[in-house]
Amino acid sequence: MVRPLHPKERQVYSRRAFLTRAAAAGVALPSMAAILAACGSGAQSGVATSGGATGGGENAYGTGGIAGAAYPLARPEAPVTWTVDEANLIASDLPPEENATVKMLRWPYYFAPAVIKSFEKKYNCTVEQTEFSDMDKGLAKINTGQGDFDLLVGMNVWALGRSIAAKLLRPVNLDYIPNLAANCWDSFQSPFYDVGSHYSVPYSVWSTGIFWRNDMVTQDIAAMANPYDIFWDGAPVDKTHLLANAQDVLSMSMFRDGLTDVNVTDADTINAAKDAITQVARATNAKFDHVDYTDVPKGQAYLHQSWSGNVSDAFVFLAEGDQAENLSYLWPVESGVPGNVDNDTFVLLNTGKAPVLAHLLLNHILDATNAMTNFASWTGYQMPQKTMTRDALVGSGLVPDHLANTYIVEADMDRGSRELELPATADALWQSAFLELQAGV
Amino acid sequence: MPATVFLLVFFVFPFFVVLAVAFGGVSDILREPVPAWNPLAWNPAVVTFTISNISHADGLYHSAFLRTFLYVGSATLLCLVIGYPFAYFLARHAGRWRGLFIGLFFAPFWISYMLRMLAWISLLEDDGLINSILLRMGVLNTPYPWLAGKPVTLIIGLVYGYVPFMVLPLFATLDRIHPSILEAGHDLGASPAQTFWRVTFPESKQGILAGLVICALPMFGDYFTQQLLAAGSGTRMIGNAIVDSLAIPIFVPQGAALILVLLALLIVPIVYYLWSTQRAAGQVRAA
Repeated sequence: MVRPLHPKERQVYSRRAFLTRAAAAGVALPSMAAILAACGSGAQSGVATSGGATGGGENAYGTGGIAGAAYPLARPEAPVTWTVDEANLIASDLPPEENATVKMLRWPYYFAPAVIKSFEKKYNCTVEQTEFSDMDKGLAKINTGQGDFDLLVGMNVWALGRSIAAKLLRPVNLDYIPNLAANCWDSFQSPFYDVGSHYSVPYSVWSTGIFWRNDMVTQDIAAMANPYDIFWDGAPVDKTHLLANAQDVLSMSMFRDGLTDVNVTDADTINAAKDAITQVARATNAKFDHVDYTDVPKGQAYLHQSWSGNVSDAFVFLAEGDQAENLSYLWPVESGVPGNVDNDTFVLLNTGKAPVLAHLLLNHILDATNAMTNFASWTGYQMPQKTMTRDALVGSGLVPDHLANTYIVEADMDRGSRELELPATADALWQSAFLELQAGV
Repeated sequence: MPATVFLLVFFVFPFFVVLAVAFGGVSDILREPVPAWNPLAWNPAVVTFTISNISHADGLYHSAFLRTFLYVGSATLLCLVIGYPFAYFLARHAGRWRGLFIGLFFAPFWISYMLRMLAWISLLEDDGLINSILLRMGVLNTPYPWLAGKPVTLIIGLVYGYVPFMVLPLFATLDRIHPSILEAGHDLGASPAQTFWRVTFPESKQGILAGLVICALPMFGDYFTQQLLAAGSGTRMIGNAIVDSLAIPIFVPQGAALILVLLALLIVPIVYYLWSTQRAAGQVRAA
């Protein structure tokens, strides 16, 4: 039986109850019944679990996946084939738009100007770039319909389903993008989150691991049975930083406990992870940020949970006289414990006015030479290209040998765990837990 | 008429948007806020929930609110302690160098707030100038991690950022005190200290009040100083809680509710200031 609470009853809520109800209040507003359900009997009723709900997500948006949202949620064991929006799919063999402007929305510092310039020259067009600072803001930007953007660079896999369901994305006509089949890893020809690559092509891949200054952290992290333990035992006070997003930071505790599927929806597991990370935060006065690539080389942090793409070129930020040998990175999977591996994507947008050029731009970027130029001269994030092997990248002198593990190989995509889109209520629980972490309560 | 248009465009409409978001919902698919433009359709659940998270000792925003009052109170008082002597010096003793001193004092503030804070980062780094000096003087044995989420750094940043807002109204008030009033104090046998406490200080109360209000109000909404100089869980202020909520689409209504609560709290000192100013003006007219 659900019922609204008397105001006096609210005074005796525990912090945990606040967490659960914060999540519920955040997501359930469209429906008063849902709010009352959350207030009265917990937010978790009716939320599908990550495992065991396979096949429950078939609907008008696509087939496969698991249940938990209005559209199927993709999982490696439950791939999703999205229904193609034929009305917005362009025909093959169309000529590129003339003297057109291609409008690109992208993360900051995520694309090499040289690659763009060569495209502009080749097709006599202009590429106009607009930045977004995080995925949610990028989604908000395209959702307003303003800007007539043609493509978005760096859409996270977790944002793909909701963008397709909201009819923001234009289907991809692969006839214009032969470089996908020619140059990209086989595992990205038809990925589980977009079987047949109907709406996306891959951009970059990375692992999430531990980045530290080996001249300041005395423990041999790589030799530890569970390298995550360093954050709980011996992490430097005032010099430990964690990634500033809910899934990465909370997953770390889950990985430490041996979970391989961290896309959990039950409040207890999420709360336990939050409590564990709170321990780290309190013991070390940890900071949450995404600037590991400057924090560690500059000595603002000695230990940082990090993305490999940020580590691979961090040595360029070292102070004069400092040495790249002082920087170390470990993907805990190398030590036999679970860890995250991920990728993001290029997507085309329905608002675009130059869809042919947008397709051709994707193909241009996936060209092996351009991909290497983009990586070597700009992003530090590796693309899943057949020619971009670890040996080739290290051999080119782009990173020191001892940081070769910042590059991942195709097989790593199967060794690591993915952080994927969650049902709305579970997502709210994760985000709420992260808000609490940040608030230090 | 222009004032009405100004008020409508820059206050009433934005305020209504905040209300519509706070009392609105979230879309099913993109999980983004959906404002409720019709007040009859407003849902108070998130606002009441947010208020309970502030008032309850274990609430998500309780600590941030307490910290905000502590930091803003400390920084505002420090602004007064620093700003009053300087404003007094400018008004009474700077003489023909007054323009130069004012120019020198305000010169750094012609640069953007962000750049000035970045300059502080450089000064406060482990190998920055401040640590170097303190190490050389023997005050410290090892560099102090000023930038690792320390309240003292945050308060320094707030004081530095907002002290001009204290100096300006104080200077204007002190400069308006007619010298004949001070001379009357001396003539009646008061020492300089007595003249200050019994004449100058009471006469500058309106300036102090204005300085306190003008300094404290923007500090309450400040989040940038904490982010740049003192990022850490233990120093988060209500401005940071608002920004954090606004950064997560499903919690935007909670962020809007926080804005409403903050606004409601800040109306109290604003009303007191306006009432006090009007009363003082009335007393002057009556005299």
